[in-house]
Amino acid sequence: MNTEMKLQALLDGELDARETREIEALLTQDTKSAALMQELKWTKGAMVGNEAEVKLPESREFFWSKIQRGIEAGEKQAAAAPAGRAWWLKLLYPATGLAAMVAVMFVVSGGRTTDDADSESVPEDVNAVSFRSESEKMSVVYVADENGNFSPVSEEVKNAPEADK
Amino acid sequence: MPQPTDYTTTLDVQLVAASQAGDMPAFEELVARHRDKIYARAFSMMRNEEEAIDLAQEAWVKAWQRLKQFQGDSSFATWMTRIVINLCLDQLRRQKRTRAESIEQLDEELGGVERQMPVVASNPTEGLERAELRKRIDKAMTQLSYEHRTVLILHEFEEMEYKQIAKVMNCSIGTVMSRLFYARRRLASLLQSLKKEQQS
Amino acid sequence: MRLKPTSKPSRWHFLVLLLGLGWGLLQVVAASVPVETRVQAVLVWGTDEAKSTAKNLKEVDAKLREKLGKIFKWQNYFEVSRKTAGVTAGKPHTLKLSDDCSVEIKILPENLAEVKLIGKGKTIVTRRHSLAKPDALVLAGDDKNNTAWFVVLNFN
Repeated sequence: MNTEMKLQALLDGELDARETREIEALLTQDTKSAALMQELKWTKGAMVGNEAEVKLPESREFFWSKIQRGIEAGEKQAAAAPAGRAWWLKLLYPATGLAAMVAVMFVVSGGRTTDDADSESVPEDVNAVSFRSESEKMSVVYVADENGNFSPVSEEVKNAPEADK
Repeated sequence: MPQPTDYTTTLDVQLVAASQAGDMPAFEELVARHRDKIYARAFSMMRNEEEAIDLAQEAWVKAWQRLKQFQGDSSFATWMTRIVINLCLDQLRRQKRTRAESIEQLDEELGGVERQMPVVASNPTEGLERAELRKRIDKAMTQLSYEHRTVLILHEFEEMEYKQIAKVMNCSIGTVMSRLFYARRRLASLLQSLKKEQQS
Repeated sequence: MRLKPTSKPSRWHFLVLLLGLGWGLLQVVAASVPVETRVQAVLVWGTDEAKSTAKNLKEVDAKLREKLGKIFKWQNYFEVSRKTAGVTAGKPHTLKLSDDCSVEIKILPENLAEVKLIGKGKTIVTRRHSLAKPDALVLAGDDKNNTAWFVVLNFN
């Protein structure tokens, strides 16, 4: 976690005792950090209890009638399944065969039905963001590290003299 | 003819218990009590009245269907709010997937602009009346990306901890911290701009 | 006496069932043969510096350059290393891309790949990537002097 994030974590009460002492000591010495901390405090303080008051722009009766319809539609849907059993029975045998085929295809394809399964995890001291570029067909995970602490490309490689051909 | 029960003085917990037993008028009273709060949360996240109404309605239908799962670990209002937050996040993710991603969005999340922003040196909300302060905060919030806005709402208004936000937003704690930090920095800058506009 | 048409399953129903099960059995046998996923990993360095400073590195191919250029801000993208491997489901496979960087790839059920980027022995990021879509997976990050590194993974 970098200093900026630690300042914020101190403000939010998310630092342990040792780190709290460290950051509090830093704040007495470093004016830049102290100024940033002040800004964060102002922003947090301004927001507390100051969410805009918004009211639902529909009458109680009208809104409730829509919810009631939604609930009834859900219940009808749930109830509809057993009622159709007689119709199902007629198609049971061919349907079983087809279902077997579909199930096996699903297993073989590895269950490729969704592309929502992407996720990433990073250590707590790493800040990363992920996004997808539809046009370039790329899923990107970008690790934010201003200081470039992790560099997989060595300085020798970056500045290597031209190789003999 | 039996008179309809008057639930206006009944406690939430009793209304929840009655609703769990299938008493729809009791559930209607819960809706009436909390509908503004649930709509307000949906609106704060979506910034669109129509979508917020639809999502609030969907949240109430879902709540009725899942009422048996409510164990009373939190207040009913908190439980309801979580439902609508999850629905809004699902909707925002769907919308984001259909939008073209751009480097600007990535930049914003990583604090591209905010990194260079000078620290605000005087309190941008000092001396403001509460109504004016709320108005300005609301205006500034509309100018944030949905990730930044959501993380601020969850942390400052819903008082959720970093790890809870990470769980709800399906990202790492580091990402939550980063988003929150740059959201706050951007908000400070926006509030300062609004102050300058007012003064000029 | 005329018999009424019966609603009992006909011969055709049984035939469809048998065909379905037979085909299913074939697929199960085919599925039990381990399938290999081809993975190509390219380590790229992105910089605004003139090309001549990285004399030993060649530019990435035009297609990748265009894709990266549309998403990221750097002027030049140099290929540092490239590795290809066949990865069998369930068995992790490590590709070493430089002295300090390797990627561990594991093909998981539900058409997912788990990619661990390891730098100096430490896991920098773990990504679960859906293979259902045709996307390349790009793990990237800030490097020194306002440059960046990219690990571009393609799965086939």
